[in-house]
Formats: sequence, structure tokens, C-alpha cells
Amino acid sequence: MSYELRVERLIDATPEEVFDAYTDPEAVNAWFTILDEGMIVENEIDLRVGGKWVSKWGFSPEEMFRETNTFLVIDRPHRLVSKSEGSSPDGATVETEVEITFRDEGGKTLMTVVQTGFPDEGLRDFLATEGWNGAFDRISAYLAAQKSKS
Amino acid sequence: MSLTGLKKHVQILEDANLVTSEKVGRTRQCRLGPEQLEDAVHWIELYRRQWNRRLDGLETYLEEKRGAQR
Repeated sequence: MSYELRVERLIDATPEEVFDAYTDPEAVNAWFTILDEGMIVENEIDLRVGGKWVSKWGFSPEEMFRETNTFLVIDRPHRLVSKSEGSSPDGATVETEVEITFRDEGGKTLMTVVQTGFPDEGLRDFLATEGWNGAFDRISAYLAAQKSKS
Repeated sequence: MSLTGLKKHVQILEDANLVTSEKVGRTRQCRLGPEQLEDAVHWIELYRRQWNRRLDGLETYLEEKRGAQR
């Protein structure tokens, strides 16, 4: 049992067009802001396995969201997998994994985003499987391991 | 586990905002605290809105690009 965030969209373009628009820095800056006038956005993309996509966006320089994606799989135009580290202006951070697939649907593209690994859901699952009875020491060990990871 | 050991573990969990405990009569009841879980819900909602907004933008961008090429 693990939580996942799934978002799907059928886009009227080929998988190649969608994949390229999704990963080209100039295109990314264009579509990031196309619906949000006044949004500040910066994207740097090093599209290779191990490379990083660094994004900053927000409506004022003091209140910026940041996200760094490290590419794990690049399979143009089918699939893109990355490790994501996100942070909000209040300093909260979250580490997740993002898998995006681009599937040809008769000339259109079904783009599916699956994001997994939201940490506290993991903890909830851990508690659900391990239970509470006599589990305090194991939970403490789990928390210590989480802390040393971050 | 000794009672002292147990108390120490509960304290760690309380410090991490994962449980709250309350003395009820002669027993202490522990409850899985909501704060950390709400934090996850917050992130999931934030990302859900963000993905929808980004896909709206990507779709609009590709429509405009296609329109310009015709």
C-alpha cells in the first residue's frame, strides 16, 4: 500500500512534440507562464541521466517555490523519471519520485504523471503495517533513519 | 520494554509531532498526531494543483504553436 499522485491529460500533439516542449528550457519558460501573467520563473535543464532540472517560480522574489529534479530515466518520447526535491517559501521540503509517460493515442498524446514517495504517507503505511504494539523502538529507529537521510 | 524506556520512546514521537498523549485516569493514551500527516496532504494538494496548472500551460503552448504553424 503506497500513496501516489496521478494526473493525466490528453494533449493534441504527437508524443515527440509534447516530450520536447516539456523538456526544452525555452519552451518550459513559455508554458510555465502562459496562463499566469506576472509569474517569475527560472528553469535550467540538463537533459541527461544524472543531470538536473532546477526550477524556481513564484509571484514575488521573496516567495519562491523551488524544485530540483534529477533525471533517472530519459526515454524520448515515451518516458521520463526523476527524483524530485521540492521546497516551498516557508522552508518545508519534500522528496518524491516523478514518472511521466507519453503515450500515442491516434496522433494525440496521453501524458500521465505519477508522483510517489510522499514521506508521511510512507510513515502512515509503516504504522499501518507494523502496528503500534511494542513498535515504539522500531518507530524510533525508522525516524532516526529518516532524519539521517535528510 | 521498561516503563522508563517506553516513556522515552513516546517522548521522541511527541517531539517529532507524530503522537500526542493525554493522561486519562491512571492511563496515558497516545494518539497518532495529525500534524505530520496534514503536511503530506498539503504537499499532495500543492503538487496536484501545480501539475494541473502546468499541463494546462503545456496544452495551451502546444495549441498556440500548432496554430502558428498553420
